[in-house]
Amino acid sequence: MRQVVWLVIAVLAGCGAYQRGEGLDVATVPPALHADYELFARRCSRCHSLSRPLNARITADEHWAEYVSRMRRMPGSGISPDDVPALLRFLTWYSAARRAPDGGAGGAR
Amino acid sequence: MKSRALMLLICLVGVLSPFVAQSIDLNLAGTLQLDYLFTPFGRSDPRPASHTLDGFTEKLSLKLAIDISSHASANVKACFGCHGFEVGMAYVDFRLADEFNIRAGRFSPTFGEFGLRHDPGNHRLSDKPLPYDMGRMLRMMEFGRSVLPSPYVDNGIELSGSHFFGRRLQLDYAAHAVAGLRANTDTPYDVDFIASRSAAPYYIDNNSQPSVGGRVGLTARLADRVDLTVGGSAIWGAYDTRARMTYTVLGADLFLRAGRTNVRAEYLIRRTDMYAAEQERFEYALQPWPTDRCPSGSSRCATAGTWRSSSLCCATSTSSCAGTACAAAATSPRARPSTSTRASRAGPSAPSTPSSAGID
Ligand code: HEC
Repeated sequence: MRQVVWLVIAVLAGCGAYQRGEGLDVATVPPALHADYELFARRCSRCHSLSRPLNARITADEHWAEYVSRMRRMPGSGISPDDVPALLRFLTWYSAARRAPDGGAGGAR
Repeated sequence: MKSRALMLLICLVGVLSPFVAQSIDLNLAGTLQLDYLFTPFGRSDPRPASHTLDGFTEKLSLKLAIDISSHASANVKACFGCHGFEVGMAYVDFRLADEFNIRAGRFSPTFGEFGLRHDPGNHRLSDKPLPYDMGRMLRMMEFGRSVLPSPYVDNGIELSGSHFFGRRLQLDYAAHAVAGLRANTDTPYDVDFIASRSAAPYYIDNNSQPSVGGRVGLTARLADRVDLTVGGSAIWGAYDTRARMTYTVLGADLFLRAGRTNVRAEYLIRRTDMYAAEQERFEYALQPWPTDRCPSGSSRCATAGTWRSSSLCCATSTSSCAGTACAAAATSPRARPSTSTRASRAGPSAPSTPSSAGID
């Protein structure tokens, strides 16, 4: 009996953990930044979920620049120096939008 | 002369970088993982406490990352887990270029693909891949531990770098010299992973002989949404107190990403010298050290059917094979392989060559 109870709990927990994807709702990103966001979503989700950068309390642009180069230098990051400007364009917009009074870019998962 | 100049340069970068810094960026990050490990044993098969962990386990980590300048950064990470409080990171990075970074302090030496992502905040499954599992395996005492329990944290120095060839190809390397895995005895029969990570007696090496290793990896962007990484890693060192018993860990890793599908596979193998003179410790018969592995001028004095300590020796002369004379030869520092044997892969309790592959 105890086994069955635990099995049910495990299955329910598993279902709860299932998400339909991660990241932002693209509709909240300005069309001019869609390509930058796509690159960010691809390059920054290789080693951790996108919620790590999206929920980080990083606001200063120089700080993001340091962070992106720190991630870029990690082994197998797949982030080339040419990718950096586009990644920073998105992150700068995102952290400004987050700080805006209406909360800006929504739907971070 | 050259090495002195290099050291001077490193010190200069270290000393001057705080003054070069425009501002110091600090970031505090942390993760908490709470697991319930449930083992479905019935009443007819009560689980022994040594069988596996059973119940809640918790892991908490808090990390402070500091960018002192674009050439220097520091990281400190404190973890609280099954082993109590531990320092997971306490290191400084000096970067002369993307291709040349020097890391010094306490850190996870680069090995394989998973090592980088060992923090629970970075992997999606609650468990680590089996080759890196730490204490959560069933029958953890009988099978030996995993090949290299993660996080493997050690004190030392690492040189690393990364170079892009165009936008599609990235080459990484890392080479380290660290204190190495430990066993706090000169007659060990496996690496003692608890001793290896314990702070006592201080975080110092048990045998004054550094362990060396590294990794080389190649990442290719095969198509717009397809990436492939292949890597190879190795670690070698001595782990007993007299630096006579060695271990070699080899690893190969592969990561393929197509669209939103990630496939990660790693293969690890560890060869460990074991003090096998005490046959009673082993459940299965041991193969004697092959004659051709004995030091030159010595011979193997094993007698078929007798696997007692004296029979396993490669004595420095045939006459010393008898009785205790052989044991005396075995304890001489120069007669290192005399006490080493390879455990046969006859059964699961022969832990000399754990190897396993993990996919997540
Ligand atoms: C090669 C793997 C890798 C890639 C690719 C990567 N990260 Fe990370 N990231 C890490 C690791 C590893 C950590 C956590 C370090 C730790 O504490 O163990 C991390 C942590 C973070 C954190 C949390 C703060 C911290 O220091 O723990 C942020 C924010 C972050 N990454 C942003 C990004 C962004 C933005 C990108 C894309 C530009 C990115 N990452 C791509 C490996 C990666």
